[in-house]
Amino acid sequence: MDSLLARCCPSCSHSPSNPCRNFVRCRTEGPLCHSSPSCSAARKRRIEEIVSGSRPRVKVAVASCTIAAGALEVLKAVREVSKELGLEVVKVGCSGLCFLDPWIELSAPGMPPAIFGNVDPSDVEKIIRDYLDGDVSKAYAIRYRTGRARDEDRVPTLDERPEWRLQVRYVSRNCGVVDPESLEHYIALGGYRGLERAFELGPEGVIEEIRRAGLRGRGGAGFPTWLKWKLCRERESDEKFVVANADEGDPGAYMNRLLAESDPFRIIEGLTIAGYAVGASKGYIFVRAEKRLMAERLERAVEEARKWGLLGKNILGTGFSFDIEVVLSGGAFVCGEETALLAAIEGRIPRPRQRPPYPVERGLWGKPTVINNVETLAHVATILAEGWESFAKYGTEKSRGTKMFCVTGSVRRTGAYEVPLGTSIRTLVEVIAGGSDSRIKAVQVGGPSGGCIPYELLDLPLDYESLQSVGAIMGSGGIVVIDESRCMVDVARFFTSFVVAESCGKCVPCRVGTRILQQILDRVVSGEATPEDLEVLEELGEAIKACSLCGLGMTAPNPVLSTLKHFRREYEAHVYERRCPSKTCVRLVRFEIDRSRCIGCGSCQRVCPASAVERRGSTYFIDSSKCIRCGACEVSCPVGAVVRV
Amino acid sequence: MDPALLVDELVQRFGPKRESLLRILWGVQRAFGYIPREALEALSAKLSIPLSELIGVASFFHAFKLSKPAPINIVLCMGTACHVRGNSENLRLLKAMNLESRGIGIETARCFGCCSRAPVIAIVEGSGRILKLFGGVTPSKLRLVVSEATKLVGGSRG
Repeated sequence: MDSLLARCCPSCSHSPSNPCRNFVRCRTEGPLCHSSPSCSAARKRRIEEIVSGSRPRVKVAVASCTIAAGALEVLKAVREVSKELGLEVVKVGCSGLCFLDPWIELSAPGMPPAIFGNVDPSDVEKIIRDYLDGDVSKAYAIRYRTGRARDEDRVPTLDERPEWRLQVRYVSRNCGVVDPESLEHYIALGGYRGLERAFELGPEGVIEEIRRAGLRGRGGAGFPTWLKWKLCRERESDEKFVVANADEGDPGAYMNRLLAESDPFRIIEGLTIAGYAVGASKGYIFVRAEKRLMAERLERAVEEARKWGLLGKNILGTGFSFDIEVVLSGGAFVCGEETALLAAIEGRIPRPRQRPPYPVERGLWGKPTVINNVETLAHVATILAEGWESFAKYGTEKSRGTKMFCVTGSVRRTGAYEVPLGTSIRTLVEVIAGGSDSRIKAVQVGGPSGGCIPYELLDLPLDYESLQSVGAIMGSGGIVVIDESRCMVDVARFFTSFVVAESCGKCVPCRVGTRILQQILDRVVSGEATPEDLEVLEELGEAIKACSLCGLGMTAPNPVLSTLKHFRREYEAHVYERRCPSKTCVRLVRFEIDRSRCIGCGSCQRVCPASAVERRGSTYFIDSSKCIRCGACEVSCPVGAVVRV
Repeated sequence: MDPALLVDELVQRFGPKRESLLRILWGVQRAFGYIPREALEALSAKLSIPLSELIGVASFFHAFKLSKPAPINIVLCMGTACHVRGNSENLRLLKAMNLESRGIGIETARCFGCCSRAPVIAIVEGSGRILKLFGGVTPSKLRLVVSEATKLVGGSRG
């Protein structure tokens, strides 16, 4: 059998024009319509081949993040070696252990599957040959023990690694495991069972299932998914739409990209279920401009699903017709706001409009429309397949289930981790992500709409309400760890300049207000601010929150307000003492040459654009009155003798 | 290729509807590396949308360029992780180098989504194709990026 999806024998009649109701279950448990030991054995064999492989196999993680780390060169090397040694090569998505990029996984009958991280193309041949020789000692981890490899005990299993053990891989279960371009792989591992079950439950049953699971939107605000669906379902209309919001724009958040690049069919399945539950005929996936590979993989998945009758007319013979279109954004952060996103799909300037009416009442072209985040939809498909209890048993009373978080910045193990809601930030940052080499000062949660949480509050549980109580928001779940070397005023200024650039300009509080915030912050980092400026920051921040039209403006001051609340002393040092405690703000530091380290090479003098570096004997001095604080000397010095004081 | 001809073809492929606008603009941008005014004029006539409105849409999105970009561009990721790990410093240094005179453009982008490699800098062709991606760019590695870009400018001219 070449493909699990193909007909086992002429008795099978499934095709998109003549769909079989049991198409999905038949592929993994079948054949169901006729009895044939040979067909059933062939199906079992094929699944076995997909799951464990019948010959030695190399999985290469190919996603945007691993490509940035050189995965394509690794893939090329793997292909060359595999051709010679007769190995099977499978491209998979990413497991979220980004600190390992680029990584590969080797397996062979009888051997423990082993993951090798930070692979250099030139090492590929040796890694593979050693592995086939029974040596896994250089592996980052093995999936399970077989006792057949040499020195196996010295290599931990994934579950012995804290970054894996403390995760609950619910929605990300397939990430880094399956070939994201293969519907066959997805179905072999239980995919599309959710849709099949949705058809058994009926639209109301699906909404009830999601209600019992307690799923709340994973895009930020945490609105109950079932309620949104119910409101849309109850609207009378000749046409309805569902939209997957894949306009993941928060800097530092990439869980949606990771999911879509690693397991795109789960999102397609989730969106199809949403369409079925609310009675929509068409779905859109709106993808952020910068995430091309995500759009490509989703588009390919849509075509594949269409080819096998899982999208299109009369899906699986149920009479339900539904299709999906992938739309690539032109790049505007505000499109993450739902009314702006709808305008973009319609081909208009994406400026948010007043709500109500909400999109469930008047959405795309005035028709009832449900907009869900990508991770929410992936959860939907998983919940339907596994039952609501499998989801609801994780998390807290009000925040059920698991959520993916991306931990970046100053940590040892950058990555995308899925944990039950209610897990403390400390567990996520210090145990799973391994803490930092330097001292952690704060974590920034929720992107430009979120806030900075000081180190002292790291025991806070990650759930919607707790985060709000300290001035942050869940957002999409990006967590950036900030260490002692960074200035919090500078971080606030960074986020403010982000929203200034991304404000759509429609309402005054956001357009003008954020610009004034930025101007004040510019004065603070230059040492030109007055104590009154700090009061204005606070007052204006509250006004912008209260008066802005959409979510972007309403949350824009959060980074400033939360740093003012938790790191006021840093602001005060800039204002009263004209100094930057972390020596980040160049206008408030002086560059000096440490004579004990200077080797007298003169490179600082050559690069200085202001001729502020003077030679005195064998060493150099910086004339502070001429220095324009550009930092060129600091960069050019080969021995790090230019210091900030 | 004549921008108007391309617009004809794209309108035919995606349908003469307003909702095809994003796809058509992407098609033009991919072909030329930017959206020439002639393309917008042709599109305005085809879809019966005022030119002012089309320019409004195209200029609102930052992925669309309305003027011809430099043949080689250094693009710095300005995501949070890249900012806290030093790309704002890198930007300051690059701007001081007067690279425009060498035919190298400097641009910033929102998060590339590979925050684990922060700070990230890409060398991007005029058409928008990424030629090289650098992760963990320290000031000393920045020199490597610049010399690589300089080499590529030479190549694209020859």
